[in-house]
Amino acid sequence: MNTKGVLDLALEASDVSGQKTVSVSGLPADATVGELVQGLLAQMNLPQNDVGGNPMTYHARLEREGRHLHASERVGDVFQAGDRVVLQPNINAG
Amino acid sequence: MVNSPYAYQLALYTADWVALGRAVLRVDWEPAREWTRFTAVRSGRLPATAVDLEAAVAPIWHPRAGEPYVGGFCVAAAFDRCTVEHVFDAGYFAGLAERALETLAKRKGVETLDTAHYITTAYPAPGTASPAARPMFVACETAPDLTLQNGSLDEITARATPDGEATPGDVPVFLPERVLDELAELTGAAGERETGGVLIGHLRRDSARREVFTEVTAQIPARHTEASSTRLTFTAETWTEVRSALALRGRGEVMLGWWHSHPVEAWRKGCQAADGPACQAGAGFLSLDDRALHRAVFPRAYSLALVVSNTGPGRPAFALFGWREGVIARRGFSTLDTTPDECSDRPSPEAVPDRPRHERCRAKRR
Repeated sequence: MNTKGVLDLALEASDVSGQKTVSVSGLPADATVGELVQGLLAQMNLPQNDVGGNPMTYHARLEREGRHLHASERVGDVFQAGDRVVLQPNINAG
Repeated sequence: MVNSPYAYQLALYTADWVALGRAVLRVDWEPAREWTRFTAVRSGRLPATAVDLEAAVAPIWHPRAGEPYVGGFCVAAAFDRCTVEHVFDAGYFAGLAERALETLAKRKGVETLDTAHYITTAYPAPGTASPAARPMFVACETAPDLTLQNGSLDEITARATPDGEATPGDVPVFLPERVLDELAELTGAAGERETGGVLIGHLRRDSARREVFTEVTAQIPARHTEASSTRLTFTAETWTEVRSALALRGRGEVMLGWWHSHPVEAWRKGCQAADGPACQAGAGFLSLDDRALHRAVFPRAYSLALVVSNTGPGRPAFALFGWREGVIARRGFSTLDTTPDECSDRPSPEAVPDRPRHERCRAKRR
């Protein structure tokens, strides 16, 4: 499944609206889902803080299993080739 | 990725040009990059699949004051062997200036510092051009599941009624009356709490007119939200259900934007003249939270945000917002009369479990 600790598979990640999609590769197998999410937010230019400067909460939903992944799960344990993960924020309108 | 080798600052002044202070800007260039991309797609210079654009931002100096005073900036975005450019004026920084003024007002212990001027300056900042910490993995942007479906702008315009002021250059937007009826009904049913949902439909291209337009086909009410009179939280479960409903419809629709209500009548109850912004608010505005949500969830240049203001008895007021020159701005739209066929075009109860059922499909309200 992995060589030298890097997952030998590509994932697809998208924002919640499906308007932004990225193909992810070179993912360390021992990285956590939380680290994946933070990396995706930066690389997808998605806001990480709300208007008050507080960190926003994004959940990673694994489409294949239809569940939100826990931030502490290891990517090497949960992902398979062709998986798609969706970043779903808890976000306020006022 | 956006490369900007300059650091930007604002100098803030009162209406009488008394200096208030300076603020270092953390400019979000992504909307500018996206606007540049979309403008090129709209005019046919780039394919709709062109998304992973490397962009560079360069300041345009004020024509009279010169460097370091900024009159605007240019974004050059490269895709494949093609480079497209777009020039923005300094209005792009207006939102940041407002925020800086608010911060300054707090610091000075006053409520507001209005009617102020601001001047934007830029200075070379070589450090900003250097690569950031090496990312843990590689993420390459790919084209989303968005196809520009064919459509006739003349045909749809023939059965549309303009609503609100049209701004030249805006992508035409068409909203069915029956969708507005649903929003009015849901807003009324929510009473003194905010409610909302997602607008879905198609982005279409009229090849003959070389123009792109947006056709909203339906709305999906947001469930699993947390709502009060001044706040509506879209949770992860909200998005899961919206995406499921969209997939279940199976009509190739995409999320075009979102809507939410403002219970303005409830806000104004018991208001005194000196009360806060919620009391003083009129119909049709986007709060800072609303703008942040739009930026986070609906960053594409064609995305829409509709505010339904319940100001009292009768039909609520509708105000549509969208991206213009990389900034969220109020915009006009056109309503589409409901046709008999569309009476059966609403999301079925199966597609949106427990969604409010409407008793009738109005053939024509006006």
